[in-house]
Amino acid sequence: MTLEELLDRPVAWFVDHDPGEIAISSRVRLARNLDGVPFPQVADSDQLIRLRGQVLEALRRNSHFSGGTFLEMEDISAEQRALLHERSLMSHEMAEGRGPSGLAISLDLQDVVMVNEEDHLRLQVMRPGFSLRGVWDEIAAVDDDLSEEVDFAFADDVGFLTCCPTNTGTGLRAGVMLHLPGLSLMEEIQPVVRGLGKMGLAVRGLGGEGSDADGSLYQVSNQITLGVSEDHLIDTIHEVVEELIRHEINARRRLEESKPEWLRDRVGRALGILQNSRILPSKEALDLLSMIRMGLAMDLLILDRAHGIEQLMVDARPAHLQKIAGKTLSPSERDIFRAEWVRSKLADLRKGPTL
Amino acid sequence: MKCDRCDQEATVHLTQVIDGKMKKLHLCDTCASEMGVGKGGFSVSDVLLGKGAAQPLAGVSGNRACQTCGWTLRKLRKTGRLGCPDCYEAFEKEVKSLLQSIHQSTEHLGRVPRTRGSRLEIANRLEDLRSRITEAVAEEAYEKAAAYRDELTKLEESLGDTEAS
Repeated sequence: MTLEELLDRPVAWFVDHDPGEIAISSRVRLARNLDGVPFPQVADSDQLIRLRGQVLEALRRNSHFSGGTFLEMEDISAEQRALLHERSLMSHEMAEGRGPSGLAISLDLQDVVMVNEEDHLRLQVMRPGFSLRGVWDEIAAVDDDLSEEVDFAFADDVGFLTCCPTNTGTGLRAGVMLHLPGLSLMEEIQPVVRGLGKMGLAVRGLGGEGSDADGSLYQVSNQITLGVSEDHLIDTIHEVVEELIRHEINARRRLEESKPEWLRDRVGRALGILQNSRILPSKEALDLLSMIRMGLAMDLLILDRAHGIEQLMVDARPAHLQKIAGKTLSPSERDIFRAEWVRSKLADLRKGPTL
Repeated sequence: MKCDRCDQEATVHLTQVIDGKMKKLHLCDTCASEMGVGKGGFSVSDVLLGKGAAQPLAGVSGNRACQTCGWTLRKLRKTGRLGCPDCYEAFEKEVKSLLQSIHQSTEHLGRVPRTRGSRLEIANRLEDLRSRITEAVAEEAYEKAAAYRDELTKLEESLGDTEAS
């Protein structure tokens, strides 16, 4: 598949959800390096080009990547990198970097291998919804296949060797992205962040931290990678996410019971602003669309095509917005175009009765 | 959110735990770079090991280098990163102390590359199950502990079979 075809397809892990689904996506990544080659920040460009060739070649033969897309970073424009980053198919560091890095993306857009990022290899599997265990099985299979093709740097005592000691051992970072507008409105995010911190887990907001997260989207992931098995880490996050989903449902129920008018007011105002604004910054768009998504889940609001809201949450981000516009826009031009795009899309989605 | 030092919009958000208390710092771009936070001037090892860890210790040479890639102890202290897989051996003492402070462990209990054979992987799984049993018992999650115990027994039996054959 070419990169252009790939970018025309919807974001595999976000759109066509039920708005009631609190877990947006599940992701696991593994950091791996090849024995005998310095890490990317130290290796010279000949070594990195050779390594990239070797890894991409192995992946072309790999059944998980058949029909996939294989890219050398020098061939990709800055705009395309930004789009890949907004789709979580490329890290921020890689989107900004200049070295000879590479990228392999599977046909279903769920399996990704970044080559010559901070580590030689960053394997990533990402799926919609709460499917951490399925994601783990998939990435473990890719990891097993690759370990027969290339020699991973590994020590019996400390495990997989990575550039940064924060990843040593399993090299695993597992995370679930959650939509938590109920807990945000009840101002109960901070205690959750503190509590999970004590368990060695991190909660990060999209585009900010704490209660400032854009669109009430939060990623829960492990910090510790050594001294605990992968299964153990996955189980811990799985249990914590189940608990958080229960908390979010409970927070929405308490909102409905304690301040029903205020809740409807928030959702109604969100819809009003999205339908009428002429200048709409990215964070505001995500925050308001998040209110609409919660309103749909709680039956406070009815849209003909509820799924369209998630597509709008993707469209609202800068690189995707410019792809829709078909040209580069300055930040202030983007805010105007975003308002226009959201207004027209909402008119399409909203044929049914309202509040 | 406003910067803690001036009235500009804060773009850098730091959370630090000092004496068991969480301290938050919100800074604008200008103040952040003045304080050396952000690109370049910020030392990971300072954060992990306390202020000053990035400075070479008296009597210990920061010039000690990895034979394979030339990465030095000073660079490890400054960036908190390693130059190549062999650096783990070259700076073993320093790396183990970093690992201990980050993960509270220096022992891998997870997967092993397929080519390394299964013995180490089974040993790791046994050790992992033992630690999970201890943890489950501490949480009074006895059903969970029993399930892990069953898994452990099964694994030990299969290991016995392999050794016998």
